[in-house]
Amino acid sequence: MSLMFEKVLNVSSGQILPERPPAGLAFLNGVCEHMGIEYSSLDLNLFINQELDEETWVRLEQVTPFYPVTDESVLSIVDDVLDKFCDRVQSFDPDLIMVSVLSYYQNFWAQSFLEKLKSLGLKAKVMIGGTGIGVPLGDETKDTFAKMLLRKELIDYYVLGEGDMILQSFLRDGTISPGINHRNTRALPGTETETWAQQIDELDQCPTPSYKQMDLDSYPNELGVTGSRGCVRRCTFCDVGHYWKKFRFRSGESIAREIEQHYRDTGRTRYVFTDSLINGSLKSFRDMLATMAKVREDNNGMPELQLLGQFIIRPSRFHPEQMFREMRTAGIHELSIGVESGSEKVREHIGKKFSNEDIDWHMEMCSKYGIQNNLLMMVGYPTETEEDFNESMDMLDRYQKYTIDKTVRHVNESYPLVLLKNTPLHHMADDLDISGFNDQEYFNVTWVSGKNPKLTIHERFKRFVRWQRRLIKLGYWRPQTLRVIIRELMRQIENLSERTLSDRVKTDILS
Amino acid sequence: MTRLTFEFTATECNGWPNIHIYIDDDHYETFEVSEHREKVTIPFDLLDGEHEVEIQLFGKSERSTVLDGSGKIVRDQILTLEDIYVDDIKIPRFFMYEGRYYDVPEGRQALTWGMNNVSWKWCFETPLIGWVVHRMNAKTDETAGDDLNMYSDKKVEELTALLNELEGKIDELDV
Repeated sequence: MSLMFEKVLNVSSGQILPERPPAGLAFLNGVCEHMGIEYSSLDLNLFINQELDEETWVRLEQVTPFYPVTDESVLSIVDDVLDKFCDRVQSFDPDLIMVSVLSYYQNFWAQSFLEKLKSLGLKAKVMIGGTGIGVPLGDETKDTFAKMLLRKELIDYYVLGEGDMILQSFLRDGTISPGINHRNTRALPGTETETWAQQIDELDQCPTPSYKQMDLDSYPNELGVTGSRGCVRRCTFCDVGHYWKKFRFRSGESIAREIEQHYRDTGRTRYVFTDSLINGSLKSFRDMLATMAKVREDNNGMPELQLLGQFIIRPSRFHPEQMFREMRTAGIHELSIGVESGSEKVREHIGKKFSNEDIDWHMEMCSKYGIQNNLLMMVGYPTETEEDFNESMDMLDRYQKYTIDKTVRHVNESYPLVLLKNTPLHHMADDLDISGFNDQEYFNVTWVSGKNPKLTIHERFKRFVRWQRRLIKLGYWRPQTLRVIIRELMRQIENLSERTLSDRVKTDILS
Repeated sequence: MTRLTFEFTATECNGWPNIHIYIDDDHYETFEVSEHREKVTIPFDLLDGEHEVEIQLFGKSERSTVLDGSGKIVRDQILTLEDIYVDDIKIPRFFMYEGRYYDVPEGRQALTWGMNNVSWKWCFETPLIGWVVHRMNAKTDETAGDDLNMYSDKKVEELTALLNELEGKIDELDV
């Protein structure tokens, strides 16, 4: 069968710690493999990591996530790295390059790569996809990142939504289905008109991601697996519901069999679910646990496989002790749980639907069955009062004991709450009397709520510092990325001070 | 209130071992072992600072040790400390090894006890959980940790300095 494209190169962007082969790349590889297309894949992130010494990597890691980057010395390093990287691209001589951008933080490297690619004048068409491409740039064009790339002719196509099915028909005969945007559609700069792929109902029909052509020895012993898309909750701060309107999940058996297959193909023993939550469907989750247990039983000599993923807490009647026992047997090793706050009132506003008693039960069971947890927390939710915040601090005291046996292995909070566009909170902005929110900016930390006037920007940032100090005092390990986060907050404060000063000068002049 | 739990395994020989448990010389518990594996929990509420727990085997008689014709012990009533728990969380074993068993005047590292009226003593600090966590972290080699996390006095110092800098900038902010 003749295909529209004969040689496809899949590329993923940087820069994050290369903890595992990028799932986005495995996804694209899986589609190509399914179509029988000759393909190769290059992980730019890994390449950067291998090219730079540790000091330079850290230096760039602190600036490249925040788009745009203007530091000339950084740009020069980036240019050198990309020169070498593009040699590899050229040596494969593809006729299509598909670029995966995991998140907003990879946009700088993605754009730099695309600019370098354009300067080489390759004949290959370029397509880009991933959740990072839809974020607004926050400038006067009102473009998203993807639209800007299209406007600058750095890409030929961008994909919004799930690409599993539409990519197959595109690769086959160039079909432009909804979700594939290009210059000849109405996705014009500065317009809102663009198409999204229809959400796939039957995930079991999607091609299986493939890691076969990836240099797995260059990564830690870890692979990504996707068991579901979307979420069963609509937490107010989260934009997952915008990208995936419905929660869709694979059968538990097919997930377990995929893991078994990856183990056979690659020998990897640690699997990280990319899902928003692995137990959205309790039925599928428990089927997966049962099949994993069977896989272990049937494969005498197979080492214990470790499974890690995001998980939602529910009351004990839904999550009985037996389920935790099954989790342990199946190899569930670490869970990331969105606790968000120690205050039930705040969690209720978020839409979490579990009590402090439910969290206590979860911790007790995880401690008993040796399952580690990563608590995802936030500081400065719009309705958070001093009392609510203190309840979160008290929770840290209460759960300190769980750091001993690693039932609590991490506590992650990124920033004082970032208000994201396309979230329920964004839609509640009027109800909460939120001001200072610029919906052309992705990174909104400097908002205020008229309904909670004591939670000023100053207060919110102070709580963040108090929170960090308590964590350090109690001996919780802190993420390496915290240094980057603190520096970014300082930059935000400087920007805010300049804006405030500039506003005052304007006011003075006007008066 | 903190709960300190000792988990033992024991052997029976004309009776099971008996123990007294003291903290800072105050008697907290007398426990008669009745199974091969037993847990004893001591709830306490002590002032912050240094403390010592003492576990003393008592009531062992000549009948609790059986010898063969050559004088070799063939059955004995003994007790082995297997684990320590704080608020039901098992703590690393290195803590147990810091205890001293006083069957010799200077004490020695031993977790199996068989001599009547001899004590094993272990020093700890309260708040107990915080002390355990910080002792564990102090033993952690940061390079042996994982990619996401870090803990070392140096890293904590660095972070604290950064937080101070951030706080300084926040304080200049009047919004």
